[in-house]
Amino acid sequence: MKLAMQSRKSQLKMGETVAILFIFFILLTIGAVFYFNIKRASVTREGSEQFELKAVEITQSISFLPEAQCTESNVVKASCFDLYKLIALASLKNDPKIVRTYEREFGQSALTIRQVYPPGANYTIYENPPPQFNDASTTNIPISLYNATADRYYFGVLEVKVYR
Amino acid sequence: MVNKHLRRRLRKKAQETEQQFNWIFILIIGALILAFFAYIVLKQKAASEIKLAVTIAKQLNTILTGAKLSSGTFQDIPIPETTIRFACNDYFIGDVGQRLGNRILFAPNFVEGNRIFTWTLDWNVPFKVSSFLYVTTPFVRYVIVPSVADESQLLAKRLNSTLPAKINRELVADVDLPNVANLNDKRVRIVIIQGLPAVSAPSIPQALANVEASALVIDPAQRKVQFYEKLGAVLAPVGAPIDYLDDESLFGALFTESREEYECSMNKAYDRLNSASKIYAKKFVLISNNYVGTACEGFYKGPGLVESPEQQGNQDLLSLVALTTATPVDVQKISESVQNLINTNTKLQLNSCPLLF
Repeated sequence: MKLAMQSRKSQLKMGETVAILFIFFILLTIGAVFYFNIKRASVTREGSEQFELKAVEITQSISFLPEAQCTESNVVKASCFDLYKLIALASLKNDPKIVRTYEREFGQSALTIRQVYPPGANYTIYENPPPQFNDASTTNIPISLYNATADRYYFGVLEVKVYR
Repeated sequence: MVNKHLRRRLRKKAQETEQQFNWIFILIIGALILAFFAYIVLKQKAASEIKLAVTIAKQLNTILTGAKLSSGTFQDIPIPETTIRFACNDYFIGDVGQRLGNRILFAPNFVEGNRIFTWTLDWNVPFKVSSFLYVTTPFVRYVIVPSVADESQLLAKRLNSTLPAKINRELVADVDLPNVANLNDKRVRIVIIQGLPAVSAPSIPQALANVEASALVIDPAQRKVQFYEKLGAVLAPVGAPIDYLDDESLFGALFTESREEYECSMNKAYDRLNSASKIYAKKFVLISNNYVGTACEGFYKGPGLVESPEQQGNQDLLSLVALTTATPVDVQKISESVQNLINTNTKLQLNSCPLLF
């Protein structure tokens, strides 16, 4: 009778230890789930920041693209795009070597220049959308367009669309 | 009586076994919990190291993008103590890599320390094609060694005066090269200006025997460079000499230790030149339509090259396209086309026509 009582007591003690461990691991799991959820949110936020940074980088790169900028005696004019260079660039946008060169720089984006005043044509100088995309960031930058033959400047907008 | 004694002994033994088992159980669970936390700590440490590398890589990317856009500038940028490995298309901090994209960058294989120097120059061939970005640190020492020839002395002086003041360099006469002192440098790049092929491979000064050394021999007459890498105690030539186009490309060779990386960066530059030349050629064909029968027309559009007569345009721009499409690129012929384009631009200015660049 006494032996049975002793054994029962041991089992109870063992069960107690197991219960404590069980609760400990449950608390640990809850902590881990909470931590990983916070981590996931911060990774998503960092991803968005990274995407925004990439969009700014592409916008900067196109704004300073030597093949499109206006120059006079090799001196670059700020925020100015040469209209004839844009027409040439738009007509050559499917040239394999040019595609390869700009793909490295602009990735999955679309770059369009619209002549606003006097109203004129739109020039898509680069377009590489992904097959499927969730979101796109669009930045519009006011620019001037230079017509070398008329020696005139027009107003335009550079639209930079970066796909995510 | 015996029975009672036996029962007591059995109970005692059972208690002892239970206690032992309890201790073993606690030890195993304790070890498991300890191992679990040790694993978490190690994983967190590795993750935070990667996170730090990613942060530095991202910041460096922003710095390099900014540096590329502000041409003609030199920047001394403090960075966290780290080692950055540069290649032609990427750079790495630990295992974390970042693509360089179209950026044309010249740097030593490893940039160590807590400061980096960036220097940007426009690459005009003759119109602006791209910007060259040179990266180095105060821990790299450049020893420029001209021969007695006038051309060599002139180039050495030009290099020395053009390099930004903060870049760790010195001008040493060739007879003094063996006596160059060790200034606690991590890396030394010996730049010898003499004729090629070199009579003998440049030797490493005795004081620099334990320093990471590499050499570049520049032949200003032939416009060629020969790369040398340290092989044991001597400097051995790497591949054949390479033609360089202008001072900007020459600075690229000066800052890049590896011949392979230099060639790769220059190929990226020639790819950009190819695209830019195509765009310029097309632009002037379009412009020529507005100047039919005038003095300007001939400058913009001429007959196509022998290999593609159907493609009309400015001969020199078409030549640049053809030269940069071929491999290897004929650098000497590019120089001729560049000079012709400069002359054409001057003539266009005299005739009051829209300029080429």
